[in-house]
Amino acid sequence: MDAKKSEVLQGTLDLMILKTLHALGPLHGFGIARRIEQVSRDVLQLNEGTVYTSLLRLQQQGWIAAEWGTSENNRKAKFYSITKRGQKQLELETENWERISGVIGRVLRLEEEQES
Amino acid sequence: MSTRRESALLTLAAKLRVLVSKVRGFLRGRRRDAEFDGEIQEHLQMLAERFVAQGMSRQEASAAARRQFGNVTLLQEDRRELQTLPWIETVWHDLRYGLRMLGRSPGFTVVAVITLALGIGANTAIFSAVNGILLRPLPYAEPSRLVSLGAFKRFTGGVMGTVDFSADVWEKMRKETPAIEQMAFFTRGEFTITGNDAPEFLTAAMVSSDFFPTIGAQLIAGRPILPGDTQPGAKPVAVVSYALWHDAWGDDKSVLGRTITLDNRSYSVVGVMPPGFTYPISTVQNGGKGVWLPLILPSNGESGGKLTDVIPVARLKKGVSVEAANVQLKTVSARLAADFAGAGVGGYFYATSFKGAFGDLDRTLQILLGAVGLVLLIACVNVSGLLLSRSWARRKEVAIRKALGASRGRLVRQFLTESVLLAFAGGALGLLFSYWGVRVLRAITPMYLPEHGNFLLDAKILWFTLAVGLLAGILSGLTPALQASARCNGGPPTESLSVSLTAAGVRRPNNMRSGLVITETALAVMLVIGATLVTRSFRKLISVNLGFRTDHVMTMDANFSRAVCDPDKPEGLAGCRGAVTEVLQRTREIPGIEFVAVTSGIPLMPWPLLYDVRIQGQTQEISLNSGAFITDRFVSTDYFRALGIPLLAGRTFTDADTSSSQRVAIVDEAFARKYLGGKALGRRISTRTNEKGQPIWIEVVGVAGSAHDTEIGRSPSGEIYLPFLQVDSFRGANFVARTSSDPVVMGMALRRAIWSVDKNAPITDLMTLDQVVAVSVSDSRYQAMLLSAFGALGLILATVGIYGIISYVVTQRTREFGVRMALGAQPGNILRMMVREGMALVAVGITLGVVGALAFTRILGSLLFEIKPTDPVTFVCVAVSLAFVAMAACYIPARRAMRVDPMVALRYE
Repeated sequence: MDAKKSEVLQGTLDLMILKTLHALGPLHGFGIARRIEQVSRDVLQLNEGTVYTSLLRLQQQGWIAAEWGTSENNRKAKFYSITKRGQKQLELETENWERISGVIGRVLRLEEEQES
Repeated sequence: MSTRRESALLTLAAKLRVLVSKVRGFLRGRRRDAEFDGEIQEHLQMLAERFVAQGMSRQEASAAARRQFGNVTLLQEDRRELQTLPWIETVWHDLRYGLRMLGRSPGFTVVAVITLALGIGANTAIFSAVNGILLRPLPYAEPSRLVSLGAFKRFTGGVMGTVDFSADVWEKMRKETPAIEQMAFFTRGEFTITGNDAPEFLTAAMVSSDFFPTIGAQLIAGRPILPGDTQPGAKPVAVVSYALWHDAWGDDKSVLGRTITLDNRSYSVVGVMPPGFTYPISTVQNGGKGVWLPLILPSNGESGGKLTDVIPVARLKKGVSVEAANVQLKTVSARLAADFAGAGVGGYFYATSFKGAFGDLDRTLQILLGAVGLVLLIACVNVSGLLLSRSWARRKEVAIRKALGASRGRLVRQFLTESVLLAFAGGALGLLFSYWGVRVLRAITPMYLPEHGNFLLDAKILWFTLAVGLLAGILSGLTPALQASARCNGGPPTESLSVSLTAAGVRRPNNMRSGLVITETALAVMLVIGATLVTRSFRKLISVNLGFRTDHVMTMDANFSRAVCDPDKPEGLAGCRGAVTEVLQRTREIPGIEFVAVTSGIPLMPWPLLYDVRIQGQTQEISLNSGAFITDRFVSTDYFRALGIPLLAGRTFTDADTSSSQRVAIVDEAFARKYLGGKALGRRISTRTNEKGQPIWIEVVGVAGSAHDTEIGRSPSGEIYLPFLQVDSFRGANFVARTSSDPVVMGMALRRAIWSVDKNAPITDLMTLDQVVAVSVSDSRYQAMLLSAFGALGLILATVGIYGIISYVVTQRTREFGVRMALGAQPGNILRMMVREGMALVAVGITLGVVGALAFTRILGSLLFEIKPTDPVTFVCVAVSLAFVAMAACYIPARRAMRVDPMVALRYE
């Protein structure tokens, strides 16, 4: 396990989870994993366990809250939902992400132009 | 700006939130664990169900679910790190694990704990002595600023340390010496508490009213001596010492205002000093019992405003060194020479710091601390060796833990926790050892130690033990821990998991073990050389030919009461002479006493030196300044016979040598040879001057053998004996009696004879001369005893350590020996090889130890008598004997190596 790689991955994972919870409302860990799998269309190879590490971190920051509930097939499960502070954070991070990806995209295009 | 601050605040708040949740997680640990596990299990199950729905078998599905989920254990670890305080958890975990591991090998644990306990216990015991003596502050305010002022007096009796007091001159002196902030005076006196059954002897200090403020002592009850008390005609008051108060009145505060009768005079008790404050009344015998009385200052009209034999003390200004004060004092003394001469105060003045009061004791304790430090280091190295062996035995465990993902730091922490655990157990046991050690120390410490009873185990000592234990744990555990954790860094863990590592040729951790053997040997060599030097010095000291016989001699100090003997008055002096003559007369008749004599000073008891001596016909006087150590003492006729000092020429004193006849003296051989050119008889010398400052000439009528009677080991440069009937000053009468039977029993008879002459005379210092000698070498004996004990302890520990390491090497190389023997090596070859390898290390260790000793024994210099700190005989002897001991320590395990059965060895695994 390379420390650097997992950190980058988890940072993005945090953002993805926040967005998922924002979009779909309260979900349990399994549901979040399925949603990400579905959206990423198998591009991202995800160790589903890391979702839980992410969830813990987000909880600690107070961006999501957890509550015991009953899952669709009648099992006791923990449901996570985004908090107000989490929504703010999501807006901030989304903005950040878009800005950075925009910049990176521009830089990459610039290189292509020079090459051609 | 403000946004930045805001975001900083936000980050801080976020961090706080994380911390709070961590602490909560830590406190709710187990429940969270269960919850989290449940969540994961649920997830895995749902995944598996999904795979089953996709057509997998249940078993495949469950495996696939695990694969997709990832490492559950790692996740749990991550969670713990995120959600709790992992540091505390690991420590707790390591502690429990360490305890379990130690419990699993009780033999190892017991040996290691006892080794460490010996080292730590020795340190704690010595530290408690240091704590009780050196670290306990003197009961004065800022003692470093306190000095006693002494004067060298010329031809006025020649006693150093005391001065004649003249109010005017001293006032001038203080004003002209800017270094001095405050100054006070005192004299010592001896009193008898009367009114009780047995007259009890009491030391008193007559102090000026600035004494207590100058010293800076706080009373525990009552008031100090005030200016009003020192006026002529003032009501007599007394401040009593704690010991006296405790003994006589049982700590009763209502003692203030009561009276105490000293020499038939009543004093009203006005104050009590704190325990430990006994300056300047403490002596060998009185156990700190004494009183402070006002020093009645004579007005200028009365006896010229002079007092004799006063000791000045002074408090220096802040930041002024004693040296700087002495420079000033010298110039001021020179400038005021005329005033001093006019007042009869001669010479120049010098200041001595109070700190030197404990003499060589602080030096001794520092050296002892060094010695026990070495013992502790050896103990640590020993335990290091043990741990190293054990970590080798545990290499598979280490490999497994590494394979499971333990980091090196984590492993080091685990091993260190175990060694610190060991050290703390050792420390606890060591504390018990030190409890006994302190009792031994208390019993053997020379009795004149200041407050020698105070080696109590206090909080400071407990902290010290804790710190030493922690240090010992880290010291002994660090190298094995690094070694153990580094072992399988080279290759994949599988290599160290396979047992083939013990195969011939693999001897990886040798460097570390070699280092331990070398260190251990070097430390032991240093310790043993130091101990041997001090012990040999002590042997030399007690085998010095003293020049007098010490067996069957009883000595005692009689203080005649003022009614019988008042040497300050002319007619009183006659009383003293009469009393002494009477005692000698009566004692001579006692059967069992062969010779009895009086003297001003018992041999080897502290006795002042003469400042200078003049010889008729020579212009240059013999001066203390030029290194001449000359003493004089008055003696009665039989003194030489009682002590067995031979008379080499001339005659001894007779009863005809009285105050009205020609003044005579006997000098010792050293004086005769050194200053009189061997022709002593008939020569005239002078040790005192008369009122006009002219020398009083004395004729030398005899030469006696030289005696080491001031200090053992310092050869006297001269001794002058005067007949006691011819001296004008009388400083107490010491009786010496040579007996034909038990001197102690005869001493009782002598004491009765003294009391039959003066029933109020307190008699102190009843000791045989053998005891006097023993007391005078007690410092050296103390050093020699303790250092030998520590040397022996260190040597034993080191031997055991070397033995342990070599035996371990043998066990580890059993298979190699088997191979060698299978290939044709003879048992003798194996034995020689092992001994050779061991001794090579020992040789390096001895060399390093000798070099270290050369560097460090220099600090012993001042404690050594007639032996150099680099004494080659000692160095060689210690090196050789250590080599032999180490050889034995290598030989025994090497023999075991020799007996290895090749078949068994090859099947070893």
